[in-house]
Amino acid sequence: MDQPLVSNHILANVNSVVGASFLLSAVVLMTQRQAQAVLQWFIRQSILLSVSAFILGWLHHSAELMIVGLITVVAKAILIPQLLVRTLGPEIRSRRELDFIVNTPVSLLIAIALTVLSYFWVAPLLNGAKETILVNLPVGLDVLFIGVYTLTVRREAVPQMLALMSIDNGAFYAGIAISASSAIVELAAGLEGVMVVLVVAILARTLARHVGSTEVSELTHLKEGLREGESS
Amino acid sequence: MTVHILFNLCQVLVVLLLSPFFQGLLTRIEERMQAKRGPSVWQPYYDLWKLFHKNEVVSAQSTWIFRFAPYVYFVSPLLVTLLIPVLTNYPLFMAFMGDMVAAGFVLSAGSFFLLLAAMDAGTVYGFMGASRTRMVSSLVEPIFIIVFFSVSFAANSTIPYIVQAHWVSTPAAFYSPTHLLIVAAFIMIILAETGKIPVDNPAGHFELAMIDEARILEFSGSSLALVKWGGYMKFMVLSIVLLNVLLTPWGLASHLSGIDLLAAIVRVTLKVVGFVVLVAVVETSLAKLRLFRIPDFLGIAFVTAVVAMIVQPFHL
Repeated sequence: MDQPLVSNHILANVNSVVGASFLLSAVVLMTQRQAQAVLQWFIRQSILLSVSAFILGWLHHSAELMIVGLITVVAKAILIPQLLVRTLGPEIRSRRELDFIVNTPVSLLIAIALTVLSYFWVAPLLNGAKETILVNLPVGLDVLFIGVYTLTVRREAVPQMLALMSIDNGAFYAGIAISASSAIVELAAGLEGVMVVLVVAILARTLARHVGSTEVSELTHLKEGLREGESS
Repeated sequence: MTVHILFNLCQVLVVLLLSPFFQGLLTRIEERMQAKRGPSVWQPYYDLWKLFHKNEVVSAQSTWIFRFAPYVYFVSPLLVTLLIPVLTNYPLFMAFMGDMVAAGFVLSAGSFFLLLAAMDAGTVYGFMGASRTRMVSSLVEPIFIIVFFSVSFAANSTIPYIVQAHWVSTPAAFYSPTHLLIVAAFIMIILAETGKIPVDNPAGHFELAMIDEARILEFSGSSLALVKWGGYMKFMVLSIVLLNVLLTPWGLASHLSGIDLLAAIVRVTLKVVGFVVLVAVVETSLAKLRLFRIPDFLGIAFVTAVVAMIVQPFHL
């Protein structure tokens, strides 16, 4: 009976390492300036999420968590990126540097503050909790916060959408540790994510065709022609 | 006692003699990765030999600092080797003279003097290089401090030998997120401090884009050799701190015997070769950042180090 316990302990440690990388991926995703890099970091983040789901599924002997991990890989690491590249190929691959509303050092400081806050808020719940919850709950909450922050400071459609999906990742990362969630729910959420991406991608493509870029802050005028009318 | 002093000398000699080799290896691997032939692995030794046999030109306007600084820069990594576990996992003669913070201070004293010397000659590029290196180091400094904080949180000490023993003896701490994040932040610090590619391009010869190299434009002859050698040793010392204290704290000599020490030299060399390959991959796969993007890169390192510290109390 001793041997499995030791390997479980190592697995819990690996889960901690995955948690740390997951958190780091959210921060890096926040600072990336090219759409393709954001997409790549999103894929990495989703893979880390599914690795954590597999580990927790193994530790808690829960087949459902394994299925959750599988769905995450299929939906977020394969389906969504494929969909994005298919619908908005040139927009994703362009080397253009994307804008932020807030500059990066300030964003990083805010990310630190959010990390401190999420640990601070979760701390009362963590007394005597299992090691996996100790990692997943605060990290998931923090990734959720950083995702919301990224969503607000980004001006482009694609990174905004990926930030939205990263919020989803954070919520699931916390969720897989505290409840033996049903695979049906995750299946529904995964499909919903794919749908959201599809809708936004098509919107962004239309936007790119009409305005010439996917910069959302361009959308303050009702018509293209109105701007010349105002200035003259 | 005598054996300890002897072993300490061995450590110093290993760093002194092997560091140009790793620089040569790094260049060679990078050139190979870019499908070029590249210079020989021993090229840095030839360069040093050549420079030591050349005459030196010193500006008449410069002061004693210009002559003095290369020696300080050369000696400071050697002093650090007395404090860190290069080959043995038991503390040697001078191990408790200073901790990792002291090592950082000694290294930065070396670069401080080089900086003064760069400005002393009064050339424009020297000033530019000096102010840019200062910008990078001033951003690296807080990360260093936070990394030391996290390490002392985790291992209850900043003496390198004790930290190394802590990671070896407690696997749970070794696999903790704190440790991983500290290592990640420290690798980014090494890249920034030794002028590797995401921050600076060591192979570049365009003066306006130089950061580290611009400081040594005025040096020639044996001074230049000393500065170059000091740079090689600084890289090796920092990577040894990373490898022997943080990332892979195994494979050091544990007995007081010469054979064990020789085996340790081989193992440590292999570890540093592995790290050099990693640095070569990083250097060939990334592009140099623009000067004003460097704070972003170091900002990520800073966040990594701070998160390491925040996460630590939750994993005891």
